Amino acid sequence: MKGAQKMTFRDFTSVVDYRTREANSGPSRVDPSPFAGTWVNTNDSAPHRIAKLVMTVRDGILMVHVWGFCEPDACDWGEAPAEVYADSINSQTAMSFTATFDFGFMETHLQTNLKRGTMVIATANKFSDLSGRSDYYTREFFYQIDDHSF
Amino acid sequence: MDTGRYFRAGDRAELANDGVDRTIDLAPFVGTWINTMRDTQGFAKLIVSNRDGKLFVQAFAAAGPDLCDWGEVEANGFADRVDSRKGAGFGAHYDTESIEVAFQANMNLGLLVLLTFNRFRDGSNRANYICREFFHR
Repeated sequence: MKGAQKMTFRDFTSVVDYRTREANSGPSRVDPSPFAGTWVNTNDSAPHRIAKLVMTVRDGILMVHVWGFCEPDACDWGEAPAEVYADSINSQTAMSFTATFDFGFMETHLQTNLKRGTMVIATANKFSDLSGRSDYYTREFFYQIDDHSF
Repeated sequence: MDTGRYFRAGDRAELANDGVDRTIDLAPFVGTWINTMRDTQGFAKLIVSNRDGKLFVQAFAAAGPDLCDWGEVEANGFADRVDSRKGAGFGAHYDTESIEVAFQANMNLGLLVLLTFNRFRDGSNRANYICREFFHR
């Protein structure tokens, strides 16, 4: 295999990655547009939930704006850039994104994937405020709505 | 009652603020985990260990006749709630300079479900991608 000697075993996570690198040509940029729009939580009773996300594509970058469930008004997390992932190494179809929000007292890392029109969001939440709260993990489901009213 | 700062209502908790260490129970993760797909072309085996209260992951990828040892990295354990100590998932991160792989793992019905986020940095034009795999002990 041409060029194989240049690779180390940790240049790929699977045999497919290894083969594809040698065969690949041209840019392979994942299209983030499937995420663009407004997404709302399927579960309106979970207190840990993310209530809503509004995602836009600016200059090819997916920007994620998040609101957490708070009362009486939602907590605005602000906006963060996202890294977009395909469903396979040869695909340009967006399947997933990751984004990080740093609140100072806690860092929340979003890791998502699309499944049958539903967006599954896992959050890894790590506290740095020595409050005694446990770092915790959530998994939530979202569906897309047509307009930006909520 | 001090409930701490929050950006989600569920993050409020009655805080003890007593300086007591309340680390997450990492026992649910510890052990050797084997991919349920014997012919996987991704990660075939994970060894998860707890040393002095710190979680470590050693991943082995399928890459030919032998497994490729990715080495060991420290992982972060997560509970399922702010007021729980039971380990429900963990995250880890590998960076080989040519590829970054983020692990997102959670326990489900005795399985370890691993979602990997693979990001290439080697200019090879391979698409960043995700992969979901299942492991048993």
